[in-house]
Amino acid sequence: MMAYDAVLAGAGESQYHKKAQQPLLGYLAEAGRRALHSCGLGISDVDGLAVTSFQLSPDNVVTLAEHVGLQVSWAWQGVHGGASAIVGLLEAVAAIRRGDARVVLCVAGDAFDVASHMEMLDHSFNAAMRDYLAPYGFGGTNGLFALVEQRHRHEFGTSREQLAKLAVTQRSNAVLNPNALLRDPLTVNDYLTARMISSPLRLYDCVLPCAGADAVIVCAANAVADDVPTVRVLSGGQTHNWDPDPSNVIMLDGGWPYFGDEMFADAGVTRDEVDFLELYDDYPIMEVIQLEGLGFCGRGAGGRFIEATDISLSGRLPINTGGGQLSCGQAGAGGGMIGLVEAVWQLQGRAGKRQLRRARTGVVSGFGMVGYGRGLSCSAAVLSTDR
Amino acid sequence: MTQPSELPGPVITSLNQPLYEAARRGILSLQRTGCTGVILFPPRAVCPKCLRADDLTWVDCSGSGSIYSWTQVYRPQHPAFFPQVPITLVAVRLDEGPMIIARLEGGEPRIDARVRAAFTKDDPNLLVFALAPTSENSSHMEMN
Repeated sequence: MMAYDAVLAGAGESQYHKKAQQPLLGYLAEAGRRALHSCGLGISDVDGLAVTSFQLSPDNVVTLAEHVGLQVSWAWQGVHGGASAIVGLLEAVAAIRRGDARVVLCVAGDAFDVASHMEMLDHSFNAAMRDYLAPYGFGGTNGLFALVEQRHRHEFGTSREQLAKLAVTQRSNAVLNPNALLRDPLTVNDYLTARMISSPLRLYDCVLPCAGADAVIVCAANAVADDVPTVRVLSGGQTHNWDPDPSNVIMLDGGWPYFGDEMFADAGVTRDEVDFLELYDDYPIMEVIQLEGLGFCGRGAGGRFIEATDISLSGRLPINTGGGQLSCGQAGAGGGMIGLVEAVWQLQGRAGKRQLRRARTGVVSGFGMVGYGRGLSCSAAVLSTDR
Repeated sequence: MTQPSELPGPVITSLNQPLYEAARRGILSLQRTGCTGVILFPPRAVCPKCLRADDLTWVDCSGSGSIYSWTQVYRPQHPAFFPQVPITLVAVRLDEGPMIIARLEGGEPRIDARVRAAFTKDDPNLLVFALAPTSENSSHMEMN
């Protein structure tokens, strides 16, 4: 039995923009301020700081603390791309349980647009991508996950129509999310006939790189007022370089199977008891692979699972209730926290017009740091209401 | 708008120089670990099993393999690639074991199609594959 001494108490997002309208640190601070405000705390209450941002260099978590005038007793910086936000959440919970900090501000974001995001992938993401992928005109991660979808379709019959359901349903959720950048309704036909990006991936398979930040507050349970609805982190897990076989380059699996069963057992929750999912949706095919890896269906059965399941806000298993990155935009490393922020809001009953009727237990997952072909870092956590 | 920077190219170091030197001669040379016999790509500084640099030897490979997956890229990143679209990328499972993502030159990509290394002297920094002669591929098609 785990102790429930650390809770998620607040969540916030900066305004998202297609092109940066303020410096990166402005986005990070805006998200942090809103997350603190949402649970009645102020910047002077913060004594722990966790940040993930691709563009923060040459600055880092310590110089960020200097910039925003924070004295902290615990500082952490994530390097796991889109898996980082959940890794940081688990680290923050551990820090609070150790007594290293009492109120941790976890923030993730970047000030990208399409051009600057491509520039990063070509030149500064990691050496393997720079040296052995970028010189081919590989189309960035779009080209790599096109290879994944092509192979997944070949082995398991995963269809474009099955994947369309994810993109289209998420877009209808985003219509109810004022901070989503893409809110025009999307039809299955729109998805199936959109501009080809990297076959079989078309436009609505790909996230829009944008500027913005997301933040959550992880704190000791007694650090916030009694009337703040808090969220428990029941359990979580992470795997990096999930398959040491260097020839497993086109990923049909991820690292989730390595900790999924233990994560649900630690949480004391069965998969049937999960009310909603916030999956890392850099591409619909990766949501399918996460559904499989987390054990919501068998390996290769993700497409058919999507087809057979009502994943809408009123359905049996709502997925990416705020629209996800596919509709909100991908603010760099902030994309790894967007699902966490949405899960906190749903569990707190603060999700506005897209509030689920039943939101007591949710699962969030993260995925990131694509090296030579495959994403190396996988994470997930089980969250529940404290009521 | 960020100004496009220089065309992306590999940073050539002592780590990967033998790969490109062999490619210039039309040969696919990769590292083999002494302790496990595994052929590696991309190049590594040490054997991932025993962590020794002197465990790695560069060996000439057949350059033959099968297409594991493919895509045609219509939206490359750097503007210099725009006139080349669609760029056919293939993930090739080499007969010696490793998987390499590279370009396919000519022909229609198809999963399981047999391919061979076809590097050009013009750009030895790009690993390029071409479909193997039809005899090799048609016998495969009959098997299907």
